[in-house]
Amino acid sequence: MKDESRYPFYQSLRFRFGVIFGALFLCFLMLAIFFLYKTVKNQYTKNFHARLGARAEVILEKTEISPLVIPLPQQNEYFLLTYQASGKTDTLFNNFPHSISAVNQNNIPEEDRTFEKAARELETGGKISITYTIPASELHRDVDKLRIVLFFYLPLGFILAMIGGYFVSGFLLKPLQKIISKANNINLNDDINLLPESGNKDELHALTLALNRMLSRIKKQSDEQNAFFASASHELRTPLSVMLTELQVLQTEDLPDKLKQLFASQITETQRLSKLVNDFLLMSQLKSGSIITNQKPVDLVEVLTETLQRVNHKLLPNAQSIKLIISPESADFEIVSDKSHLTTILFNLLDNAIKHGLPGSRINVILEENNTGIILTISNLLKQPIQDVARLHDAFNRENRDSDGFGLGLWIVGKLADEIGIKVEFEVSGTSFIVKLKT
Amino acid sequence: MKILVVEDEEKLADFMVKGLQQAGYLVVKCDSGTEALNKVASENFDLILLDLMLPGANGLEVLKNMRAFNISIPVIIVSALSGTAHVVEGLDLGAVDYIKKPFDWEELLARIRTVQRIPSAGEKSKINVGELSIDLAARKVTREGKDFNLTAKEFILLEYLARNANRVVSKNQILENVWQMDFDPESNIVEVFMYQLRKKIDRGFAEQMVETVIGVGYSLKGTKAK
Repeated sequence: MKDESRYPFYQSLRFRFGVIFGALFLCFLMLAIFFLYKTVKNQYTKNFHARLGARAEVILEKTEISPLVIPLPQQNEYFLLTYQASGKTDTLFNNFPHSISAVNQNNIPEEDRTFEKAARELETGGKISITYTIPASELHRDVDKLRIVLFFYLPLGFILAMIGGYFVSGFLLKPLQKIISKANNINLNDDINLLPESGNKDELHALTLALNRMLSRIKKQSDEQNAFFASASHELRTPLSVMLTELQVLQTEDLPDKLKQLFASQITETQRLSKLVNDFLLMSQLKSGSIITNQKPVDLVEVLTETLQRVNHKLLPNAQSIKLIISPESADFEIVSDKSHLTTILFNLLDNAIKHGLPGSRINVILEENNTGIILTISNLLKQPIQDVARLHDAFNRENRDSDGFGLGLWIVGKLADEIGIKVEFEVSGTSFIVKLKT
Repeated sequence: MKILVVEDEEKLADFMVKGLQQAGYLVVKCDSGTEALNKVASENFDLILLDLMLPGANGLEVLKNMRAFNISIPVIIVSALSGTAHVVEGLDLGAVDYIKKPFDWEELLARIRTVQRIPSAGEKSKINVGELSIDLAARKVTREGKDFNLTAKEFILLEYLARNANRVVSKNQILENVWQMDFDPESNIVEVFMYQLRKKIDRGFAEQMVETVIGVGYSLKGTKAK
């Protein structure tokens, strides 16, 4: 049976919980990271400007007018030194590659203006001013690094939150899993085991209660149905026995042809009805699981020949014959099984082979033992082709509408074989129908 | 052959009696368990067809009582109860067969014919062929003091061979008499049973009693004792 409760993990409730967890966490994380980024970037910029200011102060400190002392710029250092005295400005030193006014434009945001200006009043009067800068690439590199680190944490955080959510929800859904596996194993044939109610009065408790109430109702209906089948079958058997015996005994008398024909047809119908009643009873027992098996050592050759004897009288009307091959002759065909059920299985299969077999043809019954076990093969030529072999297992599927039997036969064979631990395989090969029983 | 039909459904009993009489049997019927026990105690029967759901003592009680009083008439249970438990219980109580209602008349007759081979009390119940002794009543086979455990079919086969001891019987004769079936001639059922029979009664003995006459059939050899 296909287990329909199996599905890809991404459809599971746990996975969805994981994704929701992850998404929520991602939103919070994005907000947090955005504020963090802003703050840290500001701090970096402030530090950078402080560094510029400090260095500008140092250069300013070292600069003397008389005698003129100007410190040499270090690598990547650019500055402009001016001396202002009595309304006159003199440029003392300038190693800016471009005109300062180009950099000093107002359209550049203040925090990006990587200059620092400072001035020193001289005791002799006059003022030395400095405009100092080093390239901001270092600052930019640090900010980029910060950005990468923070944004790298976003997907990682999302994945971690998702995994966490998946596991946490798995833990929370554990009682639900328990209910599912328990419900999967519920078999109406056994005494129904109601689902265990959880101690916590939560939603799961309510679900269990609802399921339990539903199970009880189903069980009750199934019991009633099976009981009806069983008692109806028993009740129907007695009148059917009377009818069948009466007709068959009367048929042996010397009667006009017309009456004989009538009896023959009535017998066929009564036999059909009898078989149906028997099958219904067996079906109800199989479905309710009330069938009893009695496993004992059984000689397969003996059961097989006994059953063949029972169906023997059905061979004559269609001029069919049975070829029985047992191989190897020296093998021991004793198995542990239920003789009564085994007989029912064999009877149904042989009865089918005769009923659906081509008139005048031979039915091959081969019992063989090899290293894999014992295999019984029954094969016959078909009167009519079988359309769908897979459907043969279904109850109430009947391939040949002219014949008696309501298609319960093979269904019963399959179920009974399950009960006594025998494998059944049906196969249509050309115009032959082959059944294999394997131990 | 005299048959007692124990069946409480009057119409069914009547037709069973009629059919059995037509088939050439002597038939007595009764419709309750207690009456059946009275009949069995006072008359001799070769076979009882016994229903299980009966007024008075039910079928299984009838069987128990019969066994308790050592009445060993073969019983075929004919019942609408078809559960394995009933079948097993009936067969355990010594019934030789169990037919589920509704049954095919031909099948009932076939099963009665099978039972006919079981000798009832009074009939000569032992066949001896050489050192081989077949006790038909106790269904026991011994050779030089050794007991063999034969299946029902093997027993019938040996009995048939013994009844025709020192004569050659063909495969077809065996099929007809032991299985009452016409198998396709390519079938090897007789060979299989012969192999099993030989394994049981000939292995370990100097003289091989079961002989294959190639192209003709089989023979059970042995000086036939009285």
